[in-house]
Amino acid sequence: MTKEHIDTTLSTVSIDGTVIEGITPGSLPFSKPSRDKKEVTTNKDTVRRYGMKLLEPGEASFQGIYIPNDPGQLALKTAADGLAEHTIQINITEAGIIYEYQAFVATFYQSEEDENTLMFNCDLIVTGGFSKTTTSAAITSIECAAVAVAYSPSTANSALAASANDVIIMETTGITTDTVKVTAAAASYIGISYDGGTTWSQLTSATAAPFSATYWPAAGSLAKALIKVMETNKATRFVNLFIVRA
Amino acid sequence: MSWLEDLGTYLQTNSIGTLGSSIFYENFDSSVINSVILIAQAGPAPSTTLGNTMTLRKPELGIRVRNSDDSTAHTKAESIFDLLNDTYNTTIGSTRFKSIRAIADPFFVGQSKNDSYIYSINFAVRIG
Repeated sequence: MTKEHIDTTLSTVSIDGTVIEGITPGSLPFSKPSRDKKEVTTNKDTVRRYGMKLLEPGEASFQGIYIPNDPGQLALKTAADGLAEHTIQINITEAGIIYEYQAFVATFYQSEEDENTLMFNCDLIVTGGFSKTTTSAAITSIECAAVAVAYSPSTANSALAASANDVIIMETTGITTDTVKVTAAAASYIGISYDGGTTWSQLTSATAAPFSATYWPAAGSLAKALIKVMETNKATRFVNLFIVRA
Repeated sequence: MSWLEDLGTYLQTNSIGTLGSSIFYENFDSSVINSVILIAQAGPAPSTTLGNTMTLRKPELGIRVRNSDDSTAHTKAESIFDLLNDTYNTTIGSTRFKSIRAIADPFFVGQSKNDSYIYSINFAVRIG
């Protein structure tokens, strides 16, 4: 068995699949769980007897250099302004381990570090348990119903690469509505979000669902949605879906 | 060009002296009494962010001013102090300096063997 220190310098932290840049090394947001005992002594006992209460998942905090336009930090701010749960992933790249948990972003605020650098601080309230995995949920394909569209990656509609985080669907001229079909046979949940992960609509594997008319892009524009696929004992996988209209 | 050479050129541009004639790096020229030297000194360890996406280097800059006249040496040291101190988010040459801050006021180091006067100025430099 190889014994060596696992270096965390090249790790990443993401919220709903968006990597947060600027994080200070040494502040990976691992929560500190706790568990209290409870008394279960009966009248027949001559000494106190205890049982265990449910695990309290705890809270986590992290900080970093404030980058106003970083998509990850913008997602944290949006999450802090809302009341929805979000998926936090800590990817320990060197060891190939992904820790994942659900959390509320309690606060996102600025402070000044002693080098006169503007920092961000984030507090998370963890809900539910941690999962520790080495692979992400599998997605076979992401496709639409319209014909003659172009995909990027080009095989997204038949065999989406495991490393693909973005899928672009370029609609042909005149297409004004379309559907999204995500095929992920082993998924326990498939969702699509049009607001960066704040609210989700559930999808069924291999079943086409209309792309939201509210967010359908105008001609010459694009729309972005976020696909979330969860699978038992796998890290949740997020894919950015871009619909581009001619 | 290194950050030290960028600052050497910057001093020349601002009439502190002439590179190779009265501005040198690391060591005084034994044949030039009235001169300035720039020294790259050790500072704190660089800081970085997760993934090494942003690195802030933190060297220190030492400047020594030598002149046969005490008053002239002191005045030149003050001029360099005023030129460099409290520089923020400025690109000099090919280097982007997040900040250059004096660690202390210019101070008298002593007299050299040839009866010239030496002053020292030290700066905390942040590059990134």
